[in-house]
Amino acid sequence: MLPIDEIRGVDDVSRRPGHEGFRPVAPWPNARIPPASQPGRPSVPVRTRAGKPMTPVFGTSSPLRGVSGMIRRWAYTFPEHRARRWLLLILADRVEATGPRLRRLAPLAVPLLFATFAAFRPRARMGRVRVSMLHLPRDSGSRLATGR
Amino acid sequence: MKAITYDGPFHVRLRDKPFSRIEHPQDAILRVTAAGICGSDLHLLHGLVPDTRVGFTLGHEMVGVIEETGPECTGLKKGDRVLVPFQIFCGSCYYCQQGLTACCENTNPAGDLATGCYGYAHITGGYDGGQAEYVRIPFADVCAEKIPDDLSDLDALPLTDAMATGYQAAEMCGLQGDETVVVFGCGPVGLYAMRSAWLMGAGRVIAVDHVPYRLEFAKNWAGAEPLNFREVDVVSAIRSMTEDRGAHCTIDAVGCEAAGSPVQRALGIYGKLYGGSAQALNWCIHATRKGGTVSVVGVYGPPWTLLDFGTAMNKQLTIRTGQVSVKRYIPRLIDHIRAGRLQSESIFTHRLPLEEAPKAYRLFAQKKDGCIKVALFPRGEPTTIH
Repeated sequence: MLPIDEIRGVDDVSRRPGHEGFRPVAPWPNARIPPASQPGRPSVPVRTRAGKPMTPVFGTSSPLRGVSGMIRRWAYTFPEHRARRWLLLILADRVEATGPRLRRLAPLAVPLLFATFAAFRPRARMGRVRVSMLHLPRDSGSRLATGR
Repeated sequence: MKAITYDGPFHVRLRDKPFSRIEHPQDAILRVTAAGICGSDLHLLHGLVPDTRVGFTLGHEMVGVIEETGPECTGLKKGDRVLVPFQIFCGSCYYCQQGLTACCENTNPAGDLATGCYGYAHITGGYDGGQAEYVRIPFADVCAEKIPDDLSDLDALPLTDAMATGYQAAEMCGLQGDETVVVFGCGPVGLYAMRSAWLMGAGRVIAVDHVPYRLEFAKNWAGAEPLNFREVDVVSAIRSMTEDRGAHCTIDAVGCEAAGSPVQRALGIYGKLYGGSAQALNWCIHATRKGGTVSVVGVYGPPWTLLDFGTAMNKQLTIRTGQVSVKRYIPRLIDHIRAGRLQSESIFTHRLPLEEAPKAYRLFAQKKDGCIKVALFPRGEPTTIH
C-alpha cells in the first residue's frame, strides 16, 4: 500500500462520486420501470406503509408468529414518528428471545428441576400436616445430601 | 444450507435452513464465497435494533458466484463473480435515479426509515443475509457488480460496505485541503475514513479509540495520530492540538455502542431506554471548531438519542449523515485499490470458516486477539488466523 505522502490530495472534489453532478440523474443499467411485483406475503405487515402501495420486492425471512408476532403486528400499526412503535418492537424482541434463552438454560435447569422434585417427594408428603413450611427447603436439602 | 442466524441477544447459531429461492423475476441466487462481519452486525447481536428476529440469517457484506437467475435478470449469468452492496435497490425510483440508492423506496415495506438491507433487523425489509452458503439477491442485475479478474474476493469484500462507508464519511467532510480531521473509532470503517481523508487532502488525521492495538493499527496503517480517551480528556486534548479551536471536521465511525460515558451506556445500551450511547457523537460536536463539519456514519437505533444538539446549533456546525449509496462509489474505489492507495486484504486480521462464526463474533465484539475485521468462508477454504 502506498505511503500517505503519495496518496494525499489525489481525490479533489470533482473526483468524488458523491459530489453533486458527478452522475447524471437517470435510471441505473438493467433497471425496469416500473419493476415487476413479487408474489407472496412479506414478513413485515403491509399496513405499515399506510397510503403507499406495497413495494415491488420484500423479504420473507422469519415471518410473524406467536406472542411476539402479535406485538409486532400491533407495533407496525403506529407510524415511524411515534415512539410506541419502537418500544413495542423492542418488547417483542425480548419476548421472542425468551425461547432461545430457555433452550440454552434447559441442560442445566431440567436436571435441577428433577433433582428438586425428587428431593421434595410431594406424593410421600400428601396427607401429612406440616407444622412449619420454613423447614421444607432445609429438609429437602438434607435429603438430597444424605440420600434418605 | 448452512447459515449463521440470530439466536437472541449475544448469541448467534449455525443452522440448517431451506435453500434460498427465486421469489421475483429479477432475483438471482448467490453462492457466497466470502462474507464479512460488520460492526453494525454487533448492534443486532447486542439487541439494540428493534425487530431483530430470532432465526434470520445475519450478514450484509458478501461476495460470491451467481448460481441461478430469475427470468428478468438479464444482466447476469450463472458463474459471474460479483460483489453485492449491502442495500437492496431498484435502480429506477426517484431516489435511485439521483444516485441515492441507500434511499430506494421500492425495497423496504416496513417503512421509510431506510431501504431494504440484507441480514438486518426487519425494519429494513426482512431479507436474509449473506453469512450463509446461499443468499437471494433481489434486483440482482441492478445491484450486484461484477468483480474484475485482477481483484480477489477479499479485495472486493470491503467494497460492499466498510470501505465505501469510510470513503463517504471523509467525503461528507467536504475537505478542500490541509484540514484537521478527527475520526472517532478505529474499526474498519474508521480506518478507511482515515485513509480516505488523506486521499481528499487532509492536513492532519487524528484517531480516537480506547483499544490500544486498534490505535496502533490506525497509526501504522492509516498514518493517524492516536489518542486514547481512557488516558486523556479527549475533547480538551483535541482542542489543545488545534489552537484551542477544535478540528475542522470530525467523523463518528462508532455509532450506538460508544464507550466513555457510564450514563449513556447504562440508559442507552443496558437499559435499552433509547437508541444506544451517543457519547462518540457528543464528543464529535464538542471537538469540532465553530462552523466545522460533523460527519456521522455510525449507526444509531430508533427511537431517539441523548444528544447535545444545542451545542451543535450554537457552534454553527454542519452535520452530515447517511448510509452510503455503495453502488456509485465502486468504480472509484476499485481505482484506488488497483493503484495501491486503499487496501482491503490487510484489514482482514481473521479468516475463518462459516462454522466458526460464533467464535468470530465473540472475538470481534470483545476486541480480542488483535481482531480488526473478520472474513467468513462458507466453503471453508482458508482456516488460518492472521
